[in-house]
Amino acid sequence: MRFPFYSCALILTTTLVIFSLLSLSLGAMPLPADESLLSVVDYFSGSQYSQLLTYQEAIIVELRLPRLLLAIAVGAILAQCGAVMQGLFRNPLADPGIIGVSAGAAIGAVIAIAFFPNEMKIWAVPLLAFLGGLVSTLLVYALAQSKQGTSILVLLLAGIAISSFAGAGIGFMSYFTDDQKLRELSLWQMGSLNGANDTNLILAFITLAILSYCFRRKSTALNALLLGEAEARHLGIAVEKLKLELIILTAIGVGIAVSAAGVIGFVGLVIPHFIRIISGPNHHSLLPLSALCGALLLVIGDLSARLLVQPAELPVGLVTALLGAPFFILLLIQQRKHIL
Amino acid sequence: MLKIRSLHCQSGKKTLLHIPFLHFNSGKFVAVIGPNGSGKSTLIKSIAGEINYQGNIELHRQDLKQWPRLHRAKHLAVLPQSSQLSFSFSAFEVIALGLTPLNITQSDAKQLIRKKMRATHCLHLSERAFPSLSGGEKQRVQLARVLVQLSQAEQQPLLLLDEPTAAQDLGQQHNILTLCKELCQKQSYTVIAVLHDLNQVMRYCDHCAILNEGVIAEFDTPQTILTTNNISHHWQYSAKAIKTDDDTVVII
Repeated sequence: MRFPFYSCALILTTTLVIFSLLSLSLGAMPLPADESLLSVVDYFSGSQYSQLLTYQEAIIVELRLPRLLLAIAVGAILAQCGAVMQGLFRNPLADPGIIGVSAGAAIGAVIAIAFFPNEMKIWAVPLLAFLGGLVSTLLVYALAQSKQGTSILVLLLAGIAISSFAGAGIGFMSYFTDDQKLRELSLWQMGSLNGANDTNLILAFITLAILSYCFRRKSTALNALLLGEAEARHLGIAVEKLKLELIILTAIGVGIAVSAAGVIGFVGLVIPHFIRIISGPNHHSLLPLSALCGALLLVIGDLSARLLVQPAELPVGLVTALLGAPFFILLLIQQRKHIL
Repeated sequence: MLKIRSLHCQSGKKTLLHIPFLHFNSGKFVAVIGPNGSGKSTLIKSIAGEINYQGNIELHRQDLKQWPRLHRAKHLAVLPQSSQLSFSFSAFEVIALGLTPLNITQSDAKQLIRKKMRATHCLHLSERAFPSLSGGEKQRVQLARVLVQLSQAEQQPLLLLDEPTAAQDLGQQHNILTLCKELCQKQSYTVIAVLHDLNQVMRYCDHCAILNEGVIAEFDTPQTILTTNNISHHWQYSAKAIKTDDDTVVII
């Protein structure tokens, strides 16, 4: 059963708005939703509609709003990158986390966190995360590509190899850092939206806009690529160029997402899969709907991470892994006969 | 319309294909036959540009490597032997992928797709998920897709078929071959197909090339070259040719 694009988009947008409001108003200190929204309006327009006290407004615009916005941007980026990678590898099991691209980006980010002085970090972390993600995507791609097409087995194994290498590298580097950085590192590694600030928010939204635009323009070609590389070439697609562009774009997306929020797994796996079930594999609808749904998942994930153990909070990466890992196992069972 | 000059393909030191000269006219249905490993698929793949080769292959007097991508896609299409598509596009959506190189409005596109689906007898499969179709049904959907792809050709298009009848039942085999013949006769398509059944070659094809060990051993009308002598020479099988009541020759 498939649902039309616009109804899916409408439902997802409405749900996203509802959960965004909940996310602004709920937390260790619950605040009324309407007043919370008004204080966001006040914050951007300079007006005075909200009746909340100053410290309550501060909780909303300085703590909850940046997290919410980062959740939206990172979720939308990761879900789209997952969808594009699955198209690129022509396999529904490809996910930036599983095939090691996030781990590669994490090495880059950790090197930047551990070795660069604080004032350079703002740019060094995303840049090195992008480079780490790019190198690992190219490596995974080169390993998995053969004359018979892309081997999913090699893809997954390459993911394990890169992830263990990244784990070792990060562990090694944690010996060289002080306690403060160590805590920062380990929290960040589990994925957290805690570090939202103006710089990474702007960077994340610019990346989201650029990626969404570029992916949209490549949707037709991505659809053709699902037929197979030779078939896509016969349909007039410059396949080699397309693959390279997609690899670079996804590496940028994963790099920025990882540098802002750490490794948040399974968003790129679960969301596109779900969207394919409800509205089909056509990238023209898959990509925008994945973006909406990925944003929604991370907003809900972050909300539950904050509410479940309040007043403390869980890393959001733990929540998505808790949801995503069983789903991955289900997918494996379903795909078992195609893998070997 | 298709000219092959000093075509040479090799893998390692082994020569897969060596064709000094070969010329195909437009509007002809040509069968490529020969024993296994004789280079049939290699020939199709070289023309399709899927593998590296030396020499040159010209379509409408222009080297295929020089054709702009989209222009080429409108004039040359390939029906693959099997499909690796595992995402659940509907049959209709798969055929719509044939629109990729075309300039066409949405309503025209829908009509075009339905027309090609009727021609390949797959209209009833329209909403079915492609991966759930049988091998033969997939092949017909793919055929409809390549016909959509060639529908805006400005010069006579070339259609390459690698074993189009392999997964089909008897009725569908004849449907596909009849369709190919019609495309050649009515719309001046050139169809080059790898086939195995010599009787089908006799019945449908205008020309026939026998490939053996990478060399074109014979190239002429099927009636001229599909003699019992040639068959036993190339396939090591002593066939019998029988004339039926209406003077058609049947090889058993």
